[in-house]
Amino acid sequence: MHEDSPQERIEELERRLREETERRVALEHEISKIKVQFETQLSQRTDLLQEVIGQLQKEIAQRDEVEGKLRQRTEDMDTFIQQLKYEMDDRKNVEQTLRLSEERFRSVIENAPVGICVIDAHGMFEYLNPAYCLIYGYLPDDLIGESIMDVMPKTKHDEFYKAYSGVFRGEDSLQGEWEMLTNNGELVTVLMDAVSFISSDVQTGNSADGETKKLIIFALDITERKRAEDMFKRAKVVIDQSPAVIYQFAHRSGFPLEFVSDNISQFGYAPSDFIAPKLEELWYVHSDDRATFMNSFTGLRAQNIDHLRREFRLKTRSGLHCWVEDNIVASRDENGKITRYQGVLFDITERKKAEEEISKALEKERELVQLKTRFVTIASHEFRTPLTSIMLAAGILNDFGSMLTPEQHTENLLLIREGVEHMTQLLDDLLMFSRVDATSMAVNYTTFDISSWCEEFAHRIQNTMGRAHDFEYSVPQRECSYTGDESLLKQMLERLLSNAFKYSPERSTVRFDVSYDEQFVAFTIVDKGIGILQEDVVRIFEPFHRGANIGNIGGTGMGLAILSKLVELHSGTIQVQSSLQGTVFTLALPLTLQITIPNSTRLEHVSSHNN
Amino acid sequence: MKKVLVIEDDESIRRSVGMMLRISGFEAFYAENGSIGLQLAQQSMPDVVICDIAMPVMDGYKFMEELKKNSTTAKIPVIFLTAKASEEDIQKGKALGVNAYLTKPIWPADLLKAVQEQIGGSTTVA
Repeated sequence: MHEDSPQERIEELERRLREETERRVALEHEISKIKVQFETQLSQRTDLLQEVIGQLQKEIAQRDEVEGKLRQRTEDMDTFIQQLKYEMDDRKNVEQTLRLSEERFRSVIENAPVGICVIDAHGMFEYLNPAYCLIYGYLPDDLIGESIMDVMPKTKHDEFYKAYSGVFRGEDSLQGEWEMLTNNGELVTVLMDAVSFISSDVQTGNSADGETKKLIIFALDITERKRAEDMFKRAKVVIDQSPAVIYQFAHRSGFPLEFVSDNISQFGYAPSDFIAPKLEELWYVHSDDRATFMNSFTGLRAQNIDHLRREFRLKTRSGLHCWVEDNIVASRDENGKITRYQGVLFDITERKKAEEEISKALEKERELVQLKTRFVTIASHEFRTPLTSIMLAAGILNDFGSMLTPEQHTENLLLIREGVEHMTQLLDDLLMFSRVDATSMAVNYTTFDISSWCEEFAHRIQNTMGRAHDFEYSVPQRECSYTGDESLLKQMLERLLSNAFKYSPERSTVRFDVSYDEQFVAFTIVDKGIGILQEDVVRIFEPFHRGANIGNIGGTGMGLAILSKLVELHSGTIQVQSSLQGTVFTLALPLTLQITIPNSTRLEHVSSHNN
Repeated sequence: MKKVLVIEDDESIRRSVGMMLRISGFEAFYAENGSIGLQLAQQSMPDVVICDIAMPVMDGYKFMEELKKNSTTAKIPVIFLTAKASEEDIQKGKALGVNAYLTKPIWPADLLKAVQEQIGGSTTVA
């Protein structure tokens, strides 16, 4: 431990003094700061006060202004009330107008030809106009409050419900055709459309905001139209499927076609081919038929008749011609003036063919009947001649017997005998002819050598019917097989040869030449007889036809007719060449006889005859 | 002796008719068709003609027409003796002015009677 020295004390004192001084300076600085602060605050307070005073003054001024405005308002209010009074008067007028308008509107709806109804969200009828009721045969009271489903067929309920709920949501449409039920249970087709609208009718309103959606439905009964459409569609199907082409053309210059049914396609055309400006050139009519085609129509107009039926050949697109029947009927207006013509045209080619065939057949039948009648007439005539000579001779013997010389007596008996022989020949020939004609011939087929057969045949002729003539014949020595009926062959050759002898002078030459190849045998008979006149050559094979130059040479006129039938039966040919110096007959027969049995019907028989 | 011309193409009938006429006291002469008959009629002026219809060269109708054209032969009575027996044929013959129309076959007595009627008529007048 140590003691404070004075020095130390002095120093201590001095230090304290310095500290004291420093603190004083600081204090003085602090005081001056506070002083400044105070002065600032004082001046600020003064400002605030002045401001408050200012505001107070302002507020007072504002209040004055408000009071002024209030006064003004009160005045305005009076004016407004006055105006309101006027407006209420106006409004009464407007309501009056509105009522009238609504009445008019209602009247329009009530009398609208379109069915109009209003249904609510549940599908219940709220309003129906008379037209709507008429469609279904109900009275409005019957349906109000009822569901629209009552007039829907059950099968359509789901579809309809879906559609009309869709309309409420604004998502779907009722637009379209609906089948609906009438009071009588009949179905009617109704064209419908609907719009939804928001009704502010609070009485029925039940949605959250007091508003409800409803539907106005417009309905048009299109049953008749639908029926007509269906009929038209059906008619169109019928027309298109029917073979008859329907067309229509106007009664004015050029007679333009207005319509042609699609089935004109059967002739290779489209309807547009005819609705063309160049129709009057009649390119579609066969050139030979154009004059009558035009004349018939001109005639229709000239005679003022309303129906025309004509037939013509229609040129098809492919250039062929079809016979068509064309019927035209004039349409007249209420004043009797022709407005247009309706036409029906159909293909009658088949009918024409059939008609032609029938008329051909009839013609043949007629020819056949004529032939038969003629045959019977001629036959009866042919019998009268020998009968006459028999009757005359018998009569002379009977009535003048005592006056006759023995020679005359004998002559008459001879005439009777000749007459009977002639009649017998005639009967035989007729029988033969009818047998060949009816092809009821019994044919006995045999096969033999034609060479040796002809040799034998000619030899026999030479010694019998050819004795009075210079009969020459030539037959090839080469064997040749012939298949056929020997007696028919003999008959044909004998008929030809007997004619040659009969119509040639005695001792004149008659030639008989035979030749054959692989298929045919030909017999040529040449005489130097009286010949056949040119006009008779073509008729020489007709029954009973005898040449004009035969003089007193007897005969039935049936020989060559029978021969030609026999040749026909053998599918052979017979040719004749003749002059007044003589005649050449050439008979050619197939080596193998194929008797063609013609069909037993008369017509076919005639046709084979004509062939 | 009265002359009868027989125009007939069938020889047998010609002969029979001729025999009957001669026996009955007529002079008979013949033609085998209308053409020859016409010549003979003009040459010999028969009192009556018996004529067939269907004949070659010239038939009875044509003969009748030609006979009537000539005033000298027009008055000669003509008997058609024919196998054409239809009513139509008879009418055609009558239209041509034949005096009798007889159809074949015929008994000689009937034919003779017709001939005598024609000649008797003309002899009465003469």
